[in-house]
Amino acid sequence: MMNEPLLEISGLKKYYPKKDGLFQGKKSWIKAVDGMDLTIGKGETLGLVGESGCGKSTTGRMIVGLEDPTEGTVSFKGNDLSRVDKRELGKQMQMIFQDPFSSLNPRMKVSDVIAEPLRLHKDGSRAEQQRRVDELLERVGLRSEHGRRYPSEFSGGQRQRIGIARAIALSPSLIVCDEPVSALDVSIQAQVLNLLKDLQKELGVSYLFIAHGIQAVKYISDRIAVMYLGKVVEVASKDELFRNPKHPYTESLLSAVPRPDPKLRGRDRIILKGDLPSPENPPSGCRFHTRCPKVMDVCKQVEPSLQVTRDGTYAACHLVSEAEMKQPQEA
Amino acid sequence: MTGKEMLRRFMRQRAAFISGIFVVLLIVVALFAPWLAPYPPDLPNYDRVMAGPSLAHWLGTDELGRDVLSRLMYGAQAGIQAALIAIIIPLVIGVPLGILSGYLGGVFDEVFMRIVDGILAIPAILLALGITAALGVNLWNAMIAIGIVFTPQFARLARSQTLQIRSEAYVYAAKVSGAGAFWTMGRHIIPNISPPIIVQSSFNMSFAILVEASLSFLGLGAQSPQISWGGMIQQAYSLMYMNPWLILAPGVAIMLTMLAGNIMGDGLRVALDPKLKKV
Amino acid sequence: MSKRETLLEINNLRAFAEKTGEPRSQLVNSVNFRIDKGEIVALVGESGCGKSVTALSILGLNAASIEYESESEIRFHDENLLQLSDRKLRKLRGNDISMIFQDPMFSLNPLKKIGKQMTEALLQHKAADVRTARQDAEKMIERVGITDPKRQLDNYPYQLSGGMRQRVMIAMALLCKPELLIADEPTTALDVTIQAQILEIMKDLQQELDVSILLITHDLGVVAEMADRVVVMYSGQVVEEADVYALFEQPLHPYTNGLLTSVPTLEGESDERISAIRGTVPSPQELPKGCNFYDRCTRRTDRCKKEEPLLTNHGGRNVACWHPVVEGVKDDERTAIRN
Repeated sequence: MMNEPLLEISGLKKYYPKKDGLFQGKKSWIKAVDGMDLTIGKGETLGLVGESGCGKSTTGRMIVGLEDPTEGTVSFKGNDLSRVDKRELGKQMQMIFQDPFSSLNPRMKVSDVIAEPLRLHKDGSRAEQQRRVDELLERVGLRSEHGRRYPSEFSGGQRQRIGIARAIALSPSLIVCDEPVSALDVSIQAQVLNLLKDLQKELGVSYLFIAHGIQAVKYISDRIAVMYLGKVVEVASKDELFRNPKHPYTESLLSAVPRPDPKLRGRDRIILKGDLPSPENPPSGCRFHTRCPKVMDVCKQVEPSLQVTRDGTYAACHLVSEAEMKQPQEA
Repeated sequence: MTGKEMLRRFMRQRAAFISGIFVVLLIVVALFAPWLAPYPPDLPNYDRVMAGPSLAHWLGTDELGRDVLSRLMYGAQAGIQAALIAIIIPLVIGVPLGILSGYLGGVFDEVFMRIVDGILAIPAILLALGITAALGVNLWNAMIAIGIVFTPQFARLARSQTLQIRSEAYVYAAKVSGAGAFWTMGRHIIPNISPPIIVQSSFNMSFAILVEASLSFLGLGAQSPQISWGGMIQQAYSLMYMNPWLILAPGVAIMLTMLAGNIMGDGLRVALDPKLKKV
Repeated sequence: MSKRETLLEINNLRAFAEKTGEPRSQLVNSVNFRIDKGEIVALVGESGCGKSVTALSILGLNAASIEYESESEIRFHDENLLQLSDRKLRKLRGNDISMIFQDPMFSLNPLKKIGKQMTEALLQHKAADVRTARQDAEKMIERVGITDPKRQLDNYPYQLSGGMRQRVMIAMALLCKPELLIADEPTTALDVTIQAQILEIMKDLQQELDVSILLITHDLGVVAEMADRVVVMYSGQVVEEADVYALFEQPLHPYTNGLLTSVPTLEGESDERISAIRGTVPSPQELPKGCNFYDRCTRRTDRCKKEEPLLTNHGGRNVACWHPVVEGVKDDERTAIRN
């Protein structure tokens, strides 16, 4: 699945300062993203899953340039993004947002919303832009006369389609989808997921699909990266991830998903104890050790690095590296 | 939401609609006072001093026999002028600075907001007194003073609204597409923060009329021979025990204007807010 | 299914909202279902389908502008809850029937310590003294999996994480040992791993205390994990009601079927396309004359456009559809099932 990487993230960090009280005595940092490496291939969909506060949205925002990384680089088509003119980036990268109600300016007509990227980049004449908007509206399953209306006249699903039309207006090569279906009703989610899939086939665009809904991620992704407290703990092709999760966190995450089949009740489930630790003060060693059902002594002191395993997946866990080290001897 | 729709939403609120008509009428009267007023406002008529209402003089005459209705009409000019100037200054200075402050954030915002806090800490009337004392006593200076008093309020409002709109997803969407500060402010922030600012303007204009009247009453606003409602009250005040009737006309005029301005402001708030869906 | 005692029965619930100068909108139209003692009933549907209006009408918590038609009835202990006085309803709430919401902050007072809020509820309904109330609160809060309950009782709601707050809410809701717990999307705002914890606690406590639960959710996974029986609503109506195993085995209403097939599964490696339900929910002001699902249905015929299907017994299950999804059943057999 991996051909030439379109996007490469290395050592990406984002720390937010936290003010303590009125007079800002000691400064502490919220480590939203704390050292991330990822690649996204051309025409590929990379799913990014994790629980709230794990840094997945922050990662997406850094990629499209809405936030500056504290450390590390994002390179797109081989160019370091910190050295690229951000305004030109819009032609290449776009974003689809979670909340269909706040993602469209309520005082702009739908056709103006969709035409905005075209106007910003002076792409074509007014008439050409209008034709393109009509085309885009129909492409996402709306009608061209919908362009004359205002966003408030549309349902959540329709608004999300408008947001998608805006995102593909300039034919970008990467779209960051930040929880694009989690605010929608179940029956509408499927419509939007199918639309995204169809568009990808047609346009060859890559997606970074950020979501906490694991079913949707599985449906749309080629590969999936799992994040926990600002770090990637596992990256694998989706089939491999679901068939054979390497990291105990991935395992428990998958097992926690409620399945729409009552016959699966009473299956062995891993139910994690306790809450997510605060990203301000992450646990020493492996960040997951406070909740890990397979915790060992080494996990509390040494932080495992993301290592490639025999079947080409990546995982950051001492158990995995141990098993991998034994492999050659067995063979 | 289109302008037409907003108008329709405004007109559907009866009290607000009536208030709006009152305000429009007031402006017409002020503009066309020389043609509409039945008598020249300064024409004394010693035959009819302090007369009660009659067919010839609907609101009676004052201590010099001048027609109260005509004086009220000319007095509206001072009030409206005061309101306009008092609102133009904050709209031209306060709002843009507030938007910039909210949009840019950082040190600029820090410094600017401390200055605003400082101005807000000075009592409004005191500040107006100081400014008229420094610049000289006349209606223009009084109005400028009122405008300066309003400026920090508008700056604050514009800033807080900008902060809110700045983090809406559609602003991020524009930035992702490559929008710069001017594009974002012009297309997204200003259209979305205008409704509350229009509403605030409506409230403040009616308040400005009251402040103008107060300053004129204190002798710091409109100076004779310019007619103002405050000045009329001041004159009537000295004669209150002889003819309490005289104080009533300008008093009621101020009260009605304030009331209309406030009700209209409320109506605008409802009409311009797309979130308050149904009227 | 063994016959159990019925705890709550909703008959012909019709609710509508009327505003001047607007067409009246039907929020809930002929909702019928019952909840047995010790049973978990899931009320499933998408936003605006009327599931929350139904739940809130049980507790008399709907906005005053919402009116019920006269034949509507919610039976609980031989009383029609829709006709109960405010005072009686207040006594009922929290004591016999309690409710938890998606956002715990909705029902927690941010200015009061957790312990104080819990003991107050106990003192109000169960008239114990402060010390035993405190002890009960401690026990309950420990029961929902909060470690160090003594210390947690002295915390304010904002000091707790989302998952902890939802635990506290459950503890508070069950404190007075109600007979019915209404849980409105109790885990929707929570992360998956926390959701699993909360659902497990709810299920354990349900068995321990023998409380009935009306679980309102849009998540079919949660339904499959938790419910005994499922009531599916679509634009103000109950379209299907069945035992949870039967429903997931073979949904009868095309809407239920569409919902089930539109969720991507975790099983298998296939890349097959999920079949989405086309179109959107009709607006409550302009409901169609026949079946509300007509516009989106794949099995529709002319009859569906003209006649409204009512909830009818269909082989021991209830479904409101002229053409239920039962594959391989011939027409003459189908009529037999419908008796």
